[in-house]
Amino acid sequence: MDPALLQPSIRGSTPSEVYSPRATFFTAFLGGPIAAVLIHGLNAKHFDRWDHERWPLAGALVVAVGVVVGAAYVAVARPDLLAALPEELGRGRLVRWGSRLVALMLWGVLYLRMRENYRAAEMQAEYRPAWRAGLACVAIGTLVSLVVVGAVTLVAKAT
Amino acid sequence: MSELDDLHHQIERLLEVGRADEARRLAGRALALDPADPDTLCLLGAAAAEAGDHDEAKRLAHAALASSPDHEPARVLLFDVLMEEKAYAEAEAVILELLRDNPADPDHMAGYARLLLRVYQLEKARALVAEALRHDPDHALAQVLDALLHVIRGDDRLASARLGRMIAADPDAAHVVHTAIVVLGERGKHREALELARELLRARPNDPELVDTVIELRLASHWAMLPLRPFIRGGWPFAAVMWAVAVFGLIALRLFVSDTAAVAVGGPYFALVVYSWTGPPLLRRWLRWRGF
Repeated sequence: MDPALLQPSIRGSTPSEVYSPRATFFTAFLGGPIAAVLIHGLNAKHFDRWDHERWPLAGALVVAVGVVVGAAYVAVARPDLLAALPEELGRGRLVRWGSRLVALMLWGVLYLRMRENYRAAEMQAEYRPAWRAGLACVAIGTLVSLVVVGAVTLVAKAT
Repeated sequence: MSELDDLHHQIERLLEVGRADEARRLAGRALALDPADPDTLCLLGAAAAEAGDHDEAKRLAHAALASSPDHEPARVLLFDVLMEEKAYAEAEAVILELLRDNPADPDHMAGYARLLLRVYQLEKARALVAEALRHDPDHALAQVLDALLHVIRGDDRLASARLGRMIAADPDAAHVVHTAIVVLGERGKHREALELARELLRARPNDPELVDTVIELRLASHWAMLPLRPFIRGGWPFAAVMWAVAVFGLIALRLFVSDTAAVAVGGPYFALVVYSWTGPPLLRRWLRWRGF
């Protein structure tokens, strides 16, 4: 037998319960791209996969913030780019739906990266209550998005 | 066979059929014959664990180990109790000691793999299952874990192949039926899985987890769930794709067709969304109330 199999690999604090895919989905749906990354980040910790997922999570966070900055910049500084879009995708809606679409895409990519772990969790059918963590991620994601949009608006108006 | 051996044999049989209270009573009699006998302490501990009394089971396992420090069944009992208590790091220490003492024992390899599956260390669990099956290709727990790990990887073909081997060897064993329910459910064959789960429930009518399994399988195979079948199969990633297709598809549709036509397409979609929220919980309650 491979001697590595006889080495301990469970840390003292390793929990077995994670937030359900349903909870992560709705956190992403309601909270936007930043919330999507945050809730998957929490699950990566609970799956004890932080070492595997920290760089993809960091990349996803950069994409999430970049999308918020980009959407805010276009909506505030270059509204002419939106002129050709249909009425349903006005400034506010573009930011809201575009950010939700990106949130679900990021959610999907991170979910697929950890899908084996999520399937194993589904078999055990033991999930953490997600209300507090989900709401915290939604609140943080919304707050950071508002701060970014505010900063972009200020910069765009100043220049 | 001595009286104590005879009692041990009877207690083991009672534990096998889940009659923990009778096993405890009998173990009390065995303990009166020899209060320090580690086998008796261990069996009493197993009966306590079966009855859900983990503190007592752990105390008895430690008592057996105080009487005989290398007593293997007591160490296995301690491992099982620590697993149930979710003290995973402590459980790992116990099973690793057992494996170091018996490096070729497939029981301990499979036990460690079971623990690793609980904490999502899937690659190491796979390696241990492979090692256990190399030592004993017919090992029951290792075969169950092998099938489950294939299901987790999404490899239904290999899971089914493993299940086929298990059924050929012992089609009526409870662990085989359990595995079949999981594999069939994952492959979308909810009706077949439901039949097996019902059979199992007839044998164990007081198992609450089994009752939940039957209800979920009945729900998944119910005709009223037909419109939601793609969502059940595709899970939340499918729901995300459907949201994007619906929202941006409807916006695109309004550019080319009248509002009435867009509503004609969007209406059923929103009805389906509302149904996906309300239908399954209501049907679940109905099945629980009416029977399944």
